[in-house]
Amino acid sequence: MDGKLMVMLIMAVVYFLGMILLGWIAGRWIKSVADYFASGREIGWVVLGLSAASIMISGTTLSAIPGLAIESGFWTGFNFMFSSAVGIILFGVTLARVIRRSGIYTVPEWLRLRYDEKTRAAAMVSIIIALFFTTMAQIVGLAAVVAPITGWPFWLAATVSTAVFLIYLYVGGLWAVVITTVAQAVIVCLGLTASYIWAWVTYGSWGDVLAKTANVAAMDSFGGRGGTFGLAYPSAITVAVIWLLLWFATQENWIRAIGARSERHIVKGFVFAGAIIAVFFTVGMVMFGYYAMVAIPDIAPGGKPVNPFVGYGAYGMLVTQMPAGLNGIALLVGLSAAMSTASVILVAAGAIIMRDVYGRYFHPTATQEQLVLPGRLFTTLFGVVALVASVFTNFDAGFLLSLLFTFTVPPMVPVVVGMLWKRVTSTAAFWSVTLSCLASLVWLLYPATPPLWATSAHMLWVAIIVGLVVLFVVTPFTKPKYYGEKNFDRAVPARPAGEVA
Amino acid sequence: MMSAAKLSETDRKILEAVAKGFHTFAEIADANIMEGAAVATAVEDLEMDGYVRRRGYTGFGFNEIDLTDRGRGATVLSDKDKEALKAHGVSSTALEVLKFIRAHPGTTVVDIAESLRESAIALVPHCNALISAGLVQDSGLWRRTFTATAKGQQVAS
Repeated sequence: MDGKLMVMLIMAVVYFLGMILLGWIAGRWIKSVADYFASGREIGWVVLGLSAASIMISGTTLSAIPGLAIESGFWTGFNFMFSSAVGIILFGVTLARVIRRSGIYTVPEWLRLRYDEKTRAAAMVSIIIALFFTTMAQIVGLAAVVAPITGWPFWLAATVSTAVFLIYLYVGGLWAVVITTVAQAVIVCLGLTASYIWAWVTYGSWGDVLAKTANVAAMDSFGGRGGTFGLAYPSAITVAVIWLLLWFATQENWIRAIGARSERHIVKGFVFAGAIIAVFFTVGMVMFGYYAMVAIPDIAPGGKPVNPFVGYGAYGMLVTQMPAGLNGIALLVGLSAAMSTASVILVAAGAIIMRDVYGRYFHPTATQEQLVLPGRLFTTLFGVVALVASVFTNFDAGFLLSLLFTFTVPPMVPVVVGMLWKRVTSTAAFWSVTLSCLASLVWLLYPATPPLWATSAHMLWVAIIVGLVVLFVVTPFTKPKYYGEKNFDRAVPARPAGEVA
Repeated sequence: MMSAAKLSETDRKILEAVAKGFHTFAEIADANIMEGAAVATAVEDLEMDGYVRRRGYTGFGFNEIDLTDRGRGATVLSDKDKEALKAHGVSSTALEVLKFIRAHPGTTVVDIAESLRESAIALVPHCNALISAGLVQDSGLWRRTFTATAKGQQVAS
């Protein structure tokens, strides 16, 4: 192993040990399940903002944004990150406040209370599948960062790096995730800034580089390859709606909202997160794609990418050009990006399994203290199963993230419509979740080359359209909850006299 | 219709929490160390029986409730709570919390809970009520710490 790789390996080991230490510190604050999954409602806006922003800069976005820029132009990459910033701010000023008022931790739990048990069960299955595939995607991304510097095989790189965040998660729960993701967000922001400066000094200003790569659609039309209003990925409107719904549906954000000190902290925190994403991860990340094209002309000889996927290694390729020390910092950026997202997703998965499965079916009378150990065990078990699946299957991260869209969006349709229209019925909500899940899965797996979601319409639109049609068709013919009845009078009790709850 | 005598323990706790000034499901749940889901389930029965009403059926008001006349009639508050609410707009527990904060500036909710032998999560809505009333201010990057304001010092003394 040469000296450059040795420095990177030492930095990675120190980083891993540091994360476990932070988890151990957080573990001392855990007294109940509310501490484990909601940080005792103590998260302030600065911490919330940094922690929420860190999920955006995952291992997959680090590779996707420069790749999108190379493949589809400046505005495609820009839209992707900017839409995310707008989406997280909208979540913070609307739904997050409603979630905080409700005291409800999970989307399935919300659906049970707004609709019924059947709708909760359908959503629970859908969301657990989505979280499972997302966790797998993050583990694959993490191993892809660790394997090249250690020389380890994929399975060992995946196992060691997953073990690190499983240890700090087991010990410290959401507190550990919050502390480590804040540390990771700071590392990512500083590391990316250093990398931006290095690229600027080495290869020229953004304007110079855009001019050099003008034949690669450097400043193409707004919307890039997909156009502005197309339904296929990555049109500007599709990317914007993807992010809006993903932020609304992301279980991790629900848990962050629940763990915040107050609504004031929620609004400030998510606006702060949006600002961090806009400032640190938007133009600079896109420009990595252009710097990579200048630094390594083989990526796009003659102004055309050699294949649609080569750009996804642009960040890694730039890291190989960096001087010793800076490449170690860039490695930590990659590790932080992947681990922050993976760990927070695991906490969300643990919360759902513990509350919607264990707490619901196996131990409904458990006290908060009694739920701490099962919460830890289920979170760890979920991570181990996802690790095994990552090692023994050959799914690429892009396909795994497609499954995330397929299974995350359907439960959100009745959540959002139910908040705007009191008449929506439980029967309509159940069929909306079930049929939109099936429809978007069929759309994703339909054997077409190129896939339907890249040529006709993204599965997100399929899920939204099928979900809305079912809700609006079924609702008028089925019975709503008492407050959705036409003759419901808030002044007169609706329950017949003499009936006891 | 469910008579006041047939209200469950959970129902009574919810009505009492609302009377103390906690209106969101999360505040009511925390104050009684319950799950938000348990509050939401109980609220449906209480609303159908005319004890409470939601502030809205869509949007932000869906998870907030007020007592109706019937609900007020079925709620029994201690004299200490009535007095504290009338004088300062917060519960007697919140005033106990305020006294502790005044004596220990920069304290955390866990310290307060240990001193008052309460659950930390149950004290969170009381701390927030003190902040809303301008009696306490919070700070702290990681753990939340509390200090009494000038108005809070005056009330506590």
